[in-house]
Amino acid sequence: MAVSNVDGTTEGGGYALTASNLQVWYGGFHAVSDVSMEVPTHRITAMIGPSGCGKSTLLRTFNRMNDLVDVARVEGSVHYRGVDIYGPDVDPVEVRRRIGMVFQKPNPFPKSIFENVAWGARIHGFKGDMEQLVEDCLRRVVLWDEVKDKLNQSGLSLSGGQQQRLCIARAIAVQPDIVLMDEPCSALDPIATLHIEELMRDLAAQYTIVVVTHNMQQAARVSDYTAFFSVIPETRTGELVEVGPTDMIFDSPDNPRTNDYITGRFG
Amino acid sequence: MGVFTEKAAVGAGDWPQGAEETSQTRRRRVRGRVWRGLIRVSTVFGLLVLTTLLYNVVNSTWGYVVVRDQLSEQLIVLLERSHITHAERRVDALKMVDGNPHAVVVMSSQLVPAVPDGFRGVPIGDQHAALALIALVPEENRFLLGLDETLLRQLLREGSRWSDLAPNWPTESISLMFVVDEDGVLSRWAARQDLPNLDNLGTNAMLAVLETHLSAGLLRRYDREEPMADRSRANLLALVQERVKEPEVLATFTLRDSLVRQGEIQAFAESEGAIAEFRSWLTPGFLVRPQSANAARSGIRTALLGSLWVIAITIIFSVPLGIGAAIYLEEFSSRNWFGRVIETNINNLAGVPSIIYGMLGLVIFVRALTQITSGSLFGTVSADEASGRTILSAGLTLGLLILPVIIINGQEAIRAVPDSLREAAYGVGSTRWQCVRWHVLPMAVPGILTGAILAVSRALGETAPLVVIGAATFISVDPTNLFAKFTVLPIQIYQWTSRPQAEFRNIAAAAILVLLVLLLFINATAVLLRNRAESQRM
Repeated sequence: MAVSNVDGTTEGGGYALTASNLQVWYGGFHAVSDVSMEVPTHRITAMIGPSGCGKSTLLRTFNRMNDLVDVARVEGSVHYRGVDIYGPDVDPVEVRRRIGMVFQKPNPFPKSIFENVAWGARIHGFKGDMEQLVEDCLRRVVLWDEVKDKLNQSGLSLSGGQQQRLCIARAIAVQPDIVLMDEPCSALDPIATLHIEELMRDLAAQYTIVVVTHNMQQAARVSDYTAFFSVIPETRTGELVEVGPTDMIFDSPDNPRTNDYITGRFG
Repeated sequence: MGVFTEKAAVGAGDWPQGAEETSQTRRRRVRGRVWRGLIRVSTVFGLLVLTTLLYNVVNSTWGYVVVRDQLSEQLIVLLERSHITHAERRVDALKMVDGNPHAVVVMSSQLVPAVPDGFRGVPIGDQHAALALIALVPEENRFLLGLDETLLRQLLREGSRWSDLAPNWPTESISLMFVVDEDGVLSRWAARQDLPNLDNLGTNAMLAVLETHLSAGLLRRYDREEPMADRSRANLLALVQERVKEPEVLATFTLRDSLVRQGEIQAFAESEGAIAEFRSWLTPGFLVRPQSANAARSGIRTALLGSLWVIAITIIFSVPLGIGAAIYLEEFSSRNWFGRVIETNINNLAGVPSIIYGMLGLVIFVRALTQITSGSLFGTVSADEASGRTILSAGLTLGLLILPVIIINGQEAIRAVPDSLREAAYGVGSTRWQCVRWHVLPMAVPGILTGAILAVSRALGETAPLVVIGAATFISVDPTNLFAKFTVLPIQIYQWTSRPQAEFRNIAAAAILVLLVLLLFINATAVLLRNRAESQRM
């Protein structure tokens, strides 16, 4: 079951994902313009920027979630383990199994806690011990002790923070390499946020994490790398301004726009 | 409410203050109250309409009927006695006794405006009543001039010779003749006498009664159903009750009249020489009897079976197809101009008058697909007598009619499933179908079911398209397969309400009640199914 992270490291040169000249359109609207960046393996990469800068859109291109939007169009490439996930022979289902996603609002299935974790594994034809897998995943997200006696209760009966951890457990149950998180804490209270942040640090040992956040402190606290996005005011198109190690972005950014944003003078 | 003193603030003059604020707040409240009142009035109005509808139906389904037997039981038994004959017409009777000095004719005094020559009239019973009996005795028959009601009664109970009544009378055998009148005077008179009734008749006598009173054709029909000789006494008795005694409904009264004008109804019955009985037109027998030309003998068996057959076909045809189409349009088809054209068309189809669907069904199912809908392709009927006016055609036509409604409601229900659920499924690598099958459908099922049930209920009450495709209006044979001729409840109701006799309106009301109960039953089943589906999702 152990994911061969070595592959990712060697083939991507230490990068789990490599985006080259990515452009995204929604119908006639140019949402993201010409992004090229790498996502380092086993690190947490944060994407920050003002509202409408296309960071969520970009995150969704990393596991072809935008395919579900009829009007969305993606140009450029995203390489994962040496394969362009937008290549003609790639089935998005296989992409999403390896590149999981956690959403802004906790969205557990309206099914039992057990089923929430087990469903993904089951549809992919998991042949091992399902109960063990569910327990492992719930332990990974530090939820096991809270729910082990009520696995048959609805996932929706949990509190917001617990639901979000359940969603993370659900995402890692299919053994992905990469977990994309779209503002995973924005609907949670500070304590629950803290739990999730700790969890992200834990998970980074085994998974590559890309997190979109509005909260700059959060980015500074948890991430290893930070990408700063901005909006071109005339066209409202998002663009990548700068990407680098979090320390560098927060302490001595190359681009003055990044500095303005970080210090609160803009956005 | 303007009671708070305003703090002097920037822009304070832009806001209503003091009395102005009070009146402004009040205006807002009044406006709210007016709307609330309007909404309440419309709700009450709706309830009122519903109540009126139910009241009308119930009012006609129960109530007094004034019934008069064509022949009272006593008269039936009387007429069966060997020395008594009856004739339908006065002239026949007089001709038969002419020249027979020992015969007597008894008939309604109304039939004898003037006593014919050679006869003497002997009044029988109460002469003050408008309708009384008179016995015509031949003039030459001196000894019978003393005949009165007591003697006549005695004569009917016992004896077969005149001399049995009085020693000085001739020993001739008694020859009595009754003329049965339409007003039932004779029948009522007989019922008042202490005479044997049907309980005293044996099987053979019963058979004889039937042979006397029933037409040869009717007898042959009954004989074909079950040989008369093999029938039980109870069976024969039922036939006598129905066909010879033949209770005739003179008038029917609504439930309301039955409750408040009971006295008048009883008096009316009395004056007509009939009985007023409280009757429920909705009886278990009403459900299982086939149609009949006589309202009291009519039932809705064929229509009920027809409705159930047709609606079953409709459900089997349209519900899976409709749900499938809804899933396809919502989850699989891409939102391009073609999809939009299809969707607009479906919306329009839902608003097309049902009679148009009837014409569509006539052209497609009844005419073009006769081979299939008549069953001749499957060998159930020969090709030359193949008719497409069958249950299958009706079910498919109604299926077409409600298909758009099911699709639209299904789409609504599927659209109501939040996208976050779909994203959650795709996020763990689900295919579209897995997402639909395991997450979208379970969430949407209650809504889909609600829509489908509403549509099926509509189909159950639909009349116009079935008239067009040719539902039978009178049919007494049970529909037993897809290719049978049929009628349905709404058509049956329509047909009954258009009959001139009042009793048919009563049974139409009873049929409406049955239809309502059937609808209620289907809806209740749907609610149960929906609640189960709802409790299954967590």
